[in-house]
Amino acid sequence: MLVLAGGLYLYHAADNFEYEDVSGRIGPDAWPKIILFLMLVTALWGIVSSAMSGDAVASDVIVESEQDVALISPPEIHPWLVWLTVGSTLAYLLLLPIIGFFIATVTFIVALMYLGQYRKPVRAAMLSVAIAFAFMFLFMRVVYVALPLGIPPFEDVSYALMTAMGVH
Amino acid sequence: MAFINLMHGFVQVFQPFNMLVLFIGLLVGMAVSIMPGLGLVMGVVLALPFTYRMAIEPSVILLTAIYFAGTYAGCFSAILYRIPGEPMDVPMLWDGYTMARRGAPAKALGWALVAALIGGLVSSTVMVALAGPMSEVALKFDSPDYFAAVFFGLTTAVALASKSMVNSLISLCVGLLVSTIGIDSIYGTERFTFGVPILRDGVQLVEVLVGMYGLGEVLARIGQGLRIQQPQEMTQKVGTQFPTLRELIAIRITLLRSTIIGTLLGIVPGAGATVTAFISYGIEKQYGRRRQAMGTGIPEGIVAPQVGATASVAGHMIPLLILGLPGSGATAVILAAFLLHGVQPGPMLLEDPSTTLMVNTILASMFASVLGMCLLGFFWIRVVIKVLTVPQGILSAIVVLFCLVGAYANRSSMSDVWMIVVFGVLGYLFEKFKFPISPMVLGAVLGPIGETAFMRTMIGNGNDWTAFFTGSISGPLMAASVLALAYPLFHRLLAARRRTHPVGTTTGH
Repeated sequence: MLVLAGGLYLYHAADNFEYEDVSGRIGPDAWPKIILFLMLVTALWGIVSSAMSGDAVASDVIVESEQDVALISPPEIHPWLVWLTVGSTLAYLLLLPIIGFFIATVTFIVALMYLGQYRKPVRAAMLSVAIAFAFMFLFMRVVYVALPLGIPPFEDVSYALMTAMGVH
Repeated sequence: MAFINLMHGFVQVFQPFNMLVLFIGLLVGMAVSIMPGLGLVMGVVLALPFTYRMAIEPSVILLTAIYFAGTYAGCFSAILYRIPGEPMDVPMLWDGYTMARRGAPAKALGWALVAALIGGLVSSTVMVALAGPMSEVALKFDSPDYFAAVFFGLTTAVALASKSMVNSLISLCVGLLVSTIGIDSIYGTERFTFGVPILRDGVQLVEVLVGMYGLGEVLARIGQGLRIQQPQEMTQKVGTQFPTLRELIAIRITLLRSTIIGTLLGIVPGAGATVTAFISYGIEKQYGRRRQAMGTGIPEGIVAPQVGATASVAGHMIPLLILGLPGSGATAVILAAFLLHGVQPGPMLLEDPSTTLMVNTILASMFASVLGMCLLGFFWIRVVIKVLTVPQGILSAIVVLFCLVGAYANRSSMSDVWMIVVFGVLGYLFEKFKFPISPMVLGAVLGPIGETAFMRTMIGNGNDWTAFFTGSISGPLMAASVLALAYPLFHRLLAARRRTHPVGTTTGH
């Protein structure tokens, strides 16, 4: 239903593309409309077939036992951890230009390790400093990428580390 | 002439920097394929940012080496510890692990190594030999033919990607729609930007690939609790025992059959190493001389999926180089590497003297990758397998950081990183709701090529859509596409009919 609603909205948006019409030529809306039409038909087909069969219809192109499937793709048990990780990532991206790459990354890695159920605080802190330093070195010294330095006073930390790495 | 060019390619591969890159690629490929939750596509994705500052040859050598090694090393953990690093390693549990449990782990590893070596080398030889003729055919491609080739690629990807055709098609449509975001190249019209400035440039391929395959996969793993089965006997001595020549001759039909299946399925877009491994195993189980014994730890059960998986890589690489059409997630990333270096793969690559050496270097690196991964597999198993002891919490933090910083490194743009998060969440939701990711990614990659060919054909033929069906190349390709789409439906109807009327029951009089 969500796909159907989204598809209809996008079809409406495609109908309102602004362009200069050339007679006898298809416009820039033609291709997206074909895709959206296919998507809407597929969504309808999915709704109808699941209503008729009461369950998703599965093919047996690849036959796997339930045990094997569980080994490769275990069921989700902590959905809230996923959204906490997404939240941490968004906070990291917001803080990155302010507190600079190194400090933001150290904090972010500690958070990620905690969310990844690594519960050794001292080792996690030491590892996160080492990983952030290694990334800074790799990208600034080897790949020559200008990572965000932050604003004062945080940028002083970035400059000090850059000097230690020999990055100018 | 082609052989001499290939030899020139080998000379380039053996340059110190290229050799170093190849070695690193093989190690990375082995490590990511052993570790559940990473996988070869993620390995290729994570390596992509390091290619930005490299020349095109070492860039593609690095990614190709990861791709090849990724189809092989997962067998170590599957055979020794019953931990499949990738879905493609699942068939290895049935006979490989069983053989190891029966007291012959070294022999099982030896069979897998020989299978990877033979599958990789034979398939690479066949595909390199076919590259020239394929290029000749590709040069004759017109707009309708290109559209038909893209259409065929997308339909087979949909047909093979998932258990649910509906989900595959929707995934494909999402990918195709993503590729239309931004300013249209023919009319200069803004499409689906909704006034958001960062969408005006369109969505970068790197954002889709890194977000969907990298961040999305980590998010899904975090939701699953980042659990992996810990190996019980990590301290056990791991070695490799090669099969004898007599043993090899005894399974020659399996080797031949699986190599042919792997190479042919490699050419078919969407049939990645996983599908090929399962199909090779399934065919061996159905038609093999010792089909009754499959699953009890016999060499055929190890050789068939391993040969198929490794052989499929060469099969994927040639259509990418000659037609510019990727057939799998990993080749989509390699295409992105080409495009980031301003090189458009296609038939002209082999014809143009300025790019001939580059193509032959890449072709030669396929052979070097196969040989290198087998050598590393033989000597370094004990070292590589240690990757299983790295805590998942640390590993996922490093992967997330690689995704974000890698995306930033492309254009030093924070908006790219924000887009990674968007596609990462989308990738997680796809995984959660069982929508396959590969049709979406292939749609995003092939969408612009398909749209350009579609628009050119329609404008050039006065909006006559029958042009796609009447060409000598496009017609058969479109027919094959219809068959590819119809096959799963037909298969499903047949299965439903069997369920309604089971064999051995009567329905009436």
